[in-house]
Amino acid sequence: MEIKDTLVIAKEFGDTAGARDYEDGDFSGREFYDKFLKDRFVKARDGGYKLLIDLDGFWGWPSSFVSGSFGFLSMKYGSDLVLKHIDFKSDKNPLKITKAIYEIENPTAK
Amino acid sequence: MKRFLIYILLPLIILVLGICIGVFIRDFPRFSMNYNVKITEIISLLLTLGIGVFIPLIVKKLIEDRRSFKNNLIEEVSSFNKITNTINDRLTTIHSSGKLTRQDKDGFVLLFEIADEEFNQLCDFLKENSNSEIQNYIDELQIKYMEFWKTLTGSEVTKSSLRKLNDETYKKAAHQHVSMKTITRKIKVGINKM
Repeated sequence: MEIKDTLVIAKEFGDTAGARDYEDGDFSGREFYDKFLKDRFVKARDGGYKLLIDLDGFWGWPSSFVSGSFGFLSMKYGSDLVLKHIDFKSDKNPLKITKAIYEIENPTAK
Repeated sequence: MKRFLIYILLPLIILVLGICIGVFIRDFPRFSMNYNVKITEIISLLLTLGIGVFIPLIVKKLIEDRRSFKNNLIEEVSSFNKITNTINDRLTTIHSSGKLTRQDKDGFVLLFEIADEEFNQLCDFLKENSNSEIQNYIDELQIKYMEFWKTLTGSEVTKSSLRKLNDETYKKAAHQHVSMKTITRKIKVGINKM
């Protein structure tokens, strides 16, 4: 499947990850999900293409942030569909990709 | 008397001894030099010298290089251990203090950024230079490390309403840390066996 859209988190959202929910402070995973991830993912799903999430330049990768964004997306749409339409790029820290996939495959409600 | 000993008796004794030695060895097989040397004999001599001198040197160097290579790999494992130990020490300090501040939560995120780099480097080194047994341990270590990360940077620690690290979270993370240490010990043993 072709990549037709790229979401560079550090440029579009912010350069530092917060925690999970809005009440935990700024730049939370849920904020990222609501403002960026959800719509772009739905477009990719409907358009039959892949959305590339570029993680380079984004500092911190707490599980709460990943869970509040990618984990939440996985709980809503299912891990198979999410992984079908999302690819990750992290040249500096490839483990961030593994962690995101881990959260998508093992999402936690809280 | 002294003159008699030095100038007469001593030369006489030496003369008699010389005659005795001459008589004793006169029937020994005599050595002779053959100046016609075969090329195969030269090759054989060189090979013998090679085996006797160069091979021990090469084998010794190979053994030393191998040891130094293994030490480097073990050092990579130890570097990863060091950062996870730092995280665990921080965890124990925070738990003992009975307080969990915003700085403590950010501190864990920072420490995991550093630990990620160590883990990536460890994986890169070991993927290129180890066997399938160690690869399996690396996969196990990755799972345990992800669980450790999930516990300490997940909502049970980073939630803004949390002001204290609860005992269950502490126990879970401490147990995950011990599991990682057990796996890294196995990796070190595996490296030594290579």
